[in-house]
Amino acid sequence: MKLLFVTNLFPPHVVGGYEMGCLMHAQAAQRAGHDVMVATSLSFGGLQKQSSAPGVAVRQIFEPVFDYEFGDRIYQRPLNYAGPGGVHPGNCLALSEMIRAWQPDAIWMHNPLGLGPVGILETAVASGVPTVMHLMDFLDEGIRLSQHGFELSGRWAAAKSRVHAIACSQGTLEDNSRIGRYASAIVVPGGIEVDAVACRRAGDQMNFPVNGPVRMVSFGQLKSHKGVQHVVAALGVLRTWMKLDVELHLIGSCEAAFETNLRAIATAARCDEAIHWHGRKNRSDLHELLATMHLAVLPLNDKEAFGYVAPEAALHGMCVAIGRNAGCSEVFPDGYPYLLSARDDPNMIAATVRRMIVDGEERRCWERQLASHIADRCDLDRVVLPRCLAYIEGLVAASSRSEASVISAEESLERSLAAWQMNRNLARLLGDEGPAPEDKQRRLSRRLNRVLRRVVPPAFQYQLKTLANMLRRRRAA
Amino acid sequence: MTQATAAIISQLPLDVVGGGERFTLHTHRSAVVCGEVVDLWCAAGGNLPLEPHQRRMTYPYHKVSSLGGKPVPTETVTLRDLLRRQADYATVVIHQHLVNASTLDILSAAPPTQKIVLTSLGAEPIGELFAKAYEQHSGVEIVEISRYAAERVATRGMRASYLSAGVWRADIAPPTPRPASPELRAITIGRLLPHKAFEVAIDAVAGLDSSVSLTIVGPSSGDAEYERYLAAMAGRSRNCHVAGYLDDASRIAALARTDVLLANSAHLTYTGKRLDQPELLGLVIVEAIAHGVLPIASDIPSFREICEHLGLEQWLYPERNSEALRDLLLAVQALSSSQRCRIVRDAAERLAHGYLWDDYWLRLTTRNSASPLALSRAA
Repeated sequence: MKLLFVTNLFPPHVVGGYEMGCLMHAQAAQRAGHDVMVATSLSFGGLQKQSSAPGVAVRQIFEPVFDYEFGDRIYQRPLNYAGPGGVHPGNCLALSEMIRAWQPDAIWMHNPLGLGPVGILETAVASGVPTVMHLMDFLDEGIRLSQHGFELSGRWAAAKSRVHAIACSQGTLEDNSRIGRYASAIVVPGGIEVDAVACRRAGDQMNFPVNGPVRMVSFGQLKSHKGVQHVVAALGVLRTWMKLDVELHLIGSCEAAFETNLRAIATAARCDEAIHWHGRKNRSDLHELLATMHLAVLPLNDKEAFGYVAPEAALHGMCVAIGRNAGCSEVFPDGYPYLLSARDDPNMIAATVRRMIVDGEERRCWERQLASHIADRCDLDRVVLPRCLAYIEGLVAASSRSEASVISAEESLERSLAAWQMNRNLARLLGDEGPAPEDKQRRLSRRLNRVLRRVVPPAFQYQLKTLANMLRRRRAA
Repeated sequence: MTQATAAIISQLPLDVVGGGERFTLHTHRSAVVCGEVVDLWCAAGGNLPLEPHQRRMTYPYHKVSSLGGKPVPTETVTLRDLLRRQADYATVVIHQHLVNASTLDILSAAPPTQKIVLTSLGAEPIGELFAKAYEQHSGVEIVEISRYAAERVATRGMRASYLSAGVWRADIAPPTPRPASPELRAITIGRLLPHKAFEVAIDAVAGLDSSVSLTIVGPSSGDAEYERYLAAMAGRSRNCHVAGYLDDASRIAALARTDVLLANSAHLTYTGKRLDQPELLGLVIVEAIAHGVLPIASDIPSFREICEHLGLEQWLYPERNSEALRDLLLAVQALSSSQRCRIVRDAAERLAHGYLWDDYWLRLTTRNSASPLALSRAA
């Protein structure tokens, strides 16, 4: 099959798992003998770059999507006003031309946010080429949040209804059904190159602690929404209250401001000397390092569509404490005891880690079965990709039998762009261009937050937030 | 409940009485009669024509049920919600599209497969802005209610066609000869607005003897000054009477009792103000023929268009010319009852070609949107 991948960012330009996932799918599809082409955007600013070359044909035909220097979310700092949730005519035309020239059998779309996703999806649909959206993030939420100066949710839903989806978790599929539903959808867990990750540690390392402290790891993007601050606070609880000899290894990129916060939290929790900062590592070094760890704590939040880090850690033969509602929790076995119901509660994290350490019998039992269980579900080449390709092949076969579209691709594109242009024309004529001003409440809240961040020490801020979370949970209970 | 496949959206509220509102309600009824599952939406009122996007998104719209007679709101949503639901319809018909900038929001929110029909029914506060912002494409058709209206659109650089309607087949009553009588009862119907030029009819009738009488029927328009002016004029005349607002049934009954309908709309008002267009169609002429009443109309483009179609050109008089109107009234008075009946019957037969509501929705939705929309009647 000729597979055209469409995604906003593609390695070497990387924000997180979506880009890496797309790369893995493209490479694996190529390995499986398919003809692969990736259509992605040009990059802008200091977007972090992976050193490894993708090794697949890439065409950077789309405009740069967002200003990574000033925000880590596409809809926060878009370079193009329409990028996060509207129509970007240039990108639509580029995609249309690409489809016309390359004649793919199927379009395997990954993350279209930032490219003018409504227009991109409509262009793909109009082409008549079977289109599959690989859902590894909550796209509908991104679309909803970016409807300022235009309201195209209906168009997004209409286009979705003619597109198929592969979701990396059931939760992700449900969250992506908030604005309309896909024509059909299957759930296929995120794929991992198991052979590259496979456990490299010696068997005796599993019987920790042998000599010295228990090595606990948290890796991936070190950001507040990944819950790293809770792990640091939990480390304090483990060491000072539970008197356990545990050290924390943090591996991954971390913004300077957040690192300062983490260090302050660690100092307040009197565990700063037990934290090892490794910074960002390439894949090979990361796996070498993970092979030396005893357990992983990854309190991924409910908005984590999948979270490759947790199954990767499990493939290293480690037990992982993970957020109960993160997408990847669906690939862990039934009855797995280390799911965190309150992923933002340091005491709960500490109690879970303590159980891992103290109840060695239980932990070893899970360690033995975890890697093979995850491999059976997430092995990219043997499980995930064959399922995805079988689904796409089925769609291609079905589409060749279906009737021709009522209107031509050119006409559909023309309508899509003209409709969008009317919005732009009106905005210009009314002097109403640009994102809507923030409402008063949000502006006030942001100002208050800024002041609080300046005045209140980070560690105390964290304690306040934790207390507030605890109270909220109690009230909910 | 069956999912509606089409929506009619009126950019003006439907709780007032007027030709435009009636056109929308009849369109809805026509869609239902033609078997379409259709939702009727209308602006709830108070929406300013030009507001920033964020404020437009909060405009309220009613979903209306009108099949029981009077339109009744059954649901209220904001424009933002309406736009989100809009994509569910295969066809969207927007009436009074030049009233509000939110028409462009609706056009922007249309998926490429959706068919949109725009019909202006006279109110045009954003006419110029719309002409600047509108981007023509094959998914949108401007279908005006008369050739004249379509030609006006064309002068602004937009492609338009036209499709008229004004009467249900079942409502066409054959004219019945009346006993010979020297009396001539005239009626003029419409909202009491200056461009309707009621004063011309009063002036014409006032100059005739008492065998000719005139009744003015129509709701208040809020223009108190004009209403006072009319009342004073009618008060000075022995044979003129202002009846004010009558409901549909009473209005039709009053019409059926008369011999002649006067439609006097003019570009120039009694204050000297000049209007770009006083009427886009002239439903009242169609209604008169349907009820067996001979119409006399001012020679404005839309009235001429209908009168030519119905073979009534000789009953046109130069606009605002009460002398000419008076002459035509005398000419009608001179006709025998059977002569008058024959004229009206011939016109009624022609009505069935292109002015029926019964098949209006089919004519509207089965048009070939791919063909160049020349100014042709798709009957």
